[in-house]
Amino acid sequence: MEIELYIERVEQYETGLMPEAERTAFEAELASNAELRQALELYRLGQEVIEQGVEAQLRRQLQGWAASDTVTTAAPLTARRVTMRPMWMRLAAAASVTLILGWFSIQWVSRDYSDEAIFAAQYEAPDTGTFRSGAALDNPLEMGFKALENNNLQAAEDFFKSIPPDNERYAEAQYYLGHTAGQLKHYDLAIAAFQASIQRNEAKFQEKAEWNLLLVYLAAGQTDNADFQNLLNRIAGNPNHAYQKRAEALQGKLGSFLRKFGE
Amino acid sequence: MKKPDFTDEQLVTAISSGGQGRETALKVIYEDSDLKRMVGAFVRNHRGDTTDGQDMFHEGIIVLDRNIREGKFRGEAPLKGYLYSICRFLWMNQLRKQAHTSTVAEMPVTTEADLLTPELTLITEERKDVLNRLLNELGERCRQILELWKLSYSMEEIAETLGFSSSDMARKAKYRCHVSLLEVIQKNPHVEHLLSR
Repeated sequence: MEIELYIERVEQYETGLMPEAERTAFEAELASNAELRQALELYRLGQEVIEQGVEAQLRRQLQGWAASDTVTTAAPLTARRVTMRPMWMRLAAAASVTLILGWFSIQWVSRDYSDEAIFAAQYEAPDTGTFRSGAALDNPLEMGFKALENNNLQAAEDFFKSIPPDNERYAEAQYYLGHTAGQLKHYDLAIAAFQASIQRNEAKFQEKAEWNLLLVYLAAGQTDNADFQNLLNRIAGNPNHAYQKRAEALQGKLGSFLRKFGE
Repeated sequence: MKKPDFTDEQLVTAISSGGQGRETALKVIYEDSDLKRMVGAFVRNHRGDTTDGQDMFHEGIIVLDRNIREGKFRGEAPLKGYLYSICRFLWMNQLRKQAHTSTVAEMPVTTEADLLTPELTLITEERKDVLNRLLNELGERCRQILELWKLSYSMEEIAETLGFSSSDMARKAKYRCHVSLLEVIQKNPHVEHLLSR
């Protein structure tokens, strides 16, 4: 069945944009045209697949908000004390407190601009729900995915490292090795793995690996590294790159006055 | 459920309309600390811990978002009560699976709120695995385009968000990605039993 022959009509029908008369005709045709029925069923399954992506994205966002919650704590309240000191002493004390509070506030805010804080805010571990695996499916990387799902990072790292370059899933294995080694703070290995994945030029992993390579450089405190700078500039300057907006935002954070103040 | 300037109706409209408004509305819901605490307390009182409570709150919001977008939430109950019911249902369902009991109905019904079971679409882990595998067959960019489209972003908004030169270019890209997805599904040998469910 050529899906292109049906997709536009099916979409109009499913999104309620089909005029009533056409709708009636479409439903009549469904009864007699097996290909149209198949196209409709396929379209609906496609919607389910996309919904999985929407849900995974929201899940990551919720985890990000939760992570921010744990960082943000309210400033402690102190009891108000009334003293009988002279006015000049009270004003001087107030000025000192203002200066100290100001200094601490900037220090506090600038913590959000440290390499660690930026990394924590940007990094997304692979969602175990989106691994190309499944007990029912034949998957050569299954053992690594299972180890990741069980949070056994060392076992996952060992497994992904064992996948040889001639394996057809090598780019994928190196991509997950990069994540695993990064989480274990084995930054040199993570950098090498993401670079190896990128070199394979596989569309499914290329842009994700590039973005995560940037983040690992960041976690490793290597933002002065020329490779990091070149890659960041390249992604931020490429409007077709999936992470272009985030790379631009990262450039902004790295150049922030608050970051410089906190250094 | 809401900050003073958001009514349930406004939150529902914002989520249904998609775009940035949806994200703002979901953040408002997420920041309801009373509700978060209630869900956490319920889970902890039923053999869960703090992490389970947080997970259920997140999963509840995911279901709420989907139900609103699919028009399953009809506004007959307050949004807060509806979300709480979802979270309770999800946790009880998880306990049921862990205990290998056959239906949720076998779990003790303790309060009136248990009876407010929302309409939920629970899919099997096997089906989820296959759907995720299909999703991963798409490139990152196609995934982004289709997800934004599913969230009712206009072609103008998709073009702006993803850096297309015009809404027409975004529309063409969306069409190509959609056809690719359906072709991937068609060719996948694991899909047949999903179609004939």
